[in-house]
Amino acid sequence: MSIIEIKNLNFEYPSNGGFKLKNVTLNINKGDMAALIGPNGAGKSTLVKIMARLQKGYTGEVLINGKEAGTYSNKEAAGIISYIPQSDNYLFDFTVFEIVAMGRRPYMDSFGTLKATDMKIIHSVLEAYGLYEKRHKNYNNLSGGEKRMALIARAFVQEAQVMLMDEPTTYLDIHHQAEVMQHTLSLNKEYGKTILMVSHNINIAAEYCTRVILMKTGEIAHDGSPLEEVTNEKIKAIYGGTGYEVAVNPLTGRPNVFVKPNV
Amino acid sequence: MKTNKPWLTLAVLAAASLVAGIIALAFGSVHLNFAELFSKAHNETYTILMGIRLPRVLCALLIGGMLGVSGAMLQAVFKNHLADPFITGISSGAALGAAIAIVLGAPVVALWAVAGGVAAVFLVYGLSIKYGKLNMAYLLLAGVMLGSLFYSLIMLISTIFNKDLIKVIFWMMGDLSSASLTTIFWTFVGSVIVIAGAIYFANDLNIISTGEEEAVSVGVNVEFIKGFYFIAASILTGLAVALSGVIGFVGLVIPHFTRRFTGSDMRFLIPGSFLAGGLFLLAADTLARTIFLPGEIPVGIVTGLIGVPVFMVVLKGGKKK
Repeated sequence: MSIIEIKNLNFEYPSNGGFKLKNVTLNINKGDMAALIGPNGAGKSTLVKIMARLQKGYTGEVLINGKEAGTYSNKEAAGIISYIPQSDNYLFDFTVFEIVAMGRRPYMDSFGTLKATDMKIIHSVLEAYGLYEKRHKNYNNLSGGEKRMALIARAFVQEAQVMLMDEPTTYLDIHHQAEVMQHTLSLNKEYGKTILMVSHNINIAAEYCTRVILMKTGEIAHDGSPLEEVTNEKIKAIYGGTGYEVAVNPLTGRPNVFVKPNV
Repeated sequence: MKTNKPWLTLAVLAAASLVAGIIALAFGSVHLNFAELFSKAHNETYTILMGIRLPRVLCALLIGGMLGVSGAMLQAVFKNHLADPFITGISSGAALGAAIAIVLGAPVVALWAVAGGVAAVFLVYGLSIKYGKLNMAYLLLAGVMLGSLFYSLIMLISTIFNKDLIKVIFWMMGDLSSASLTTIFWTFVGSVIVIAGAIYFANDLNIISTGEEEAVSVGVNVEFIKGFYFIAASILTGLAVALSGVIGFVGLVIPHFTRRFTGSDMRFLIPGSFLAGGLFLLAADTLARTIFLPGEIPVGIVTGLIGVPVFMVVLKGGKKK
């Protein structure tokens, strides 16, 4: 069953004449653990922002649970789709608790009153993500990995069916990449969340996802399982260049990209 | 320095405002004999206290509060530390509106000032949008340029209509001496309504201050909230300008100062900035009217001379963590 259906989507940035999304048709299905991969400027982030209702001005259809995305109020849509941006410092200092609690906005009044159920959910997620002890700390003072975890925690407490993630592992060391992805995997497997992440890391996509969508110059080039899509032929056709090869990761049996210097 | 008890900060600020208000009533160019208050029904002390000092003290508390809140809201909605009623052109737009009303002899100058402020903020915002996104460099440029344009227009109007230029310049530096208790009362009523609304929607403003995309994705009606705070900030600034002319600095630094104690949560920062802004302007005005007795200097001069160094010390002190 599709939660998000995109039909014949076209989009062009007014400020960037060269960039276009061209006739994109794509379904995101309930329970997907999917990654959008492709080179810089392929249109991955833009496509995800359109799904998250953050980018307007497109033509074609974007349906959320069968209904045009633009007909939802922000509050209604927030109960279905959450969006996790790349983490950055905020201009003003908020505590980790305050940032995570913002995810409960769809269930609050405008004043932001947190009910007992809200507090219970926030505290349990903070504990599960190892942030409970740091809940009164300034979010801006967290490490990159902790910030990413806090933003995922915020999306988790939002209790939306779909989580759209913009490059969740970028700038993280290997320990935190694995930690963030393990939590993301558990959201999919244990909590039934539908995950779509934009990633520059093909190996992360191939190892953790069951579906890989390859984009090139504003179009969907390939869409299938990691075994089908992460192949030498397809990856080289999408990314171009030399100095890397796709081979099977002996630990998992999944295809990975390995650097191979031209000596 | 941020306390986990923002209510305590608010209580301390409220108590300090009360004490400062009482102290400010006691100081001025005439030495008052407070014993007279209880010995005679109508006496000079009562006249000076109720007719001159009390309106001025209340005016300072109210104007400082409104400007402080206006700055706090603008900094959050524009996501910019430099945003304040000045830089966004609201003050000068309000001053232009008020100047036009004065020249035309129109009633309720405050409404004209508010309209000028609202027009200015939407104009600056419109000029700052590039490709659907707020461009911070454009915001600052548009605010400063339009501010200059509005001031030029005020001077032009004053010159053409033969108004006293010196008086206009003095008014534009801020003057808390001319408001009546009735005007202050109605301005207070207006400001309470606006600030109550601002506190009600403050949680959404918190979320917007972390990013508009993030606010949309958690369900905030971003355009409505932004529009509300633009208008709220314009009303507060417009009312302040109509009452006392243009007083700079308060709207910029008071939110920064207050944030160090209440944190960034607008539900506490808004009332905190109201109290701290009022307290600061009261202190500045009391100095302005007592430091060169029997004369006085425009309060805008004192806010700059005292406020900037104090602000620098607080900012630097706060960074030593």
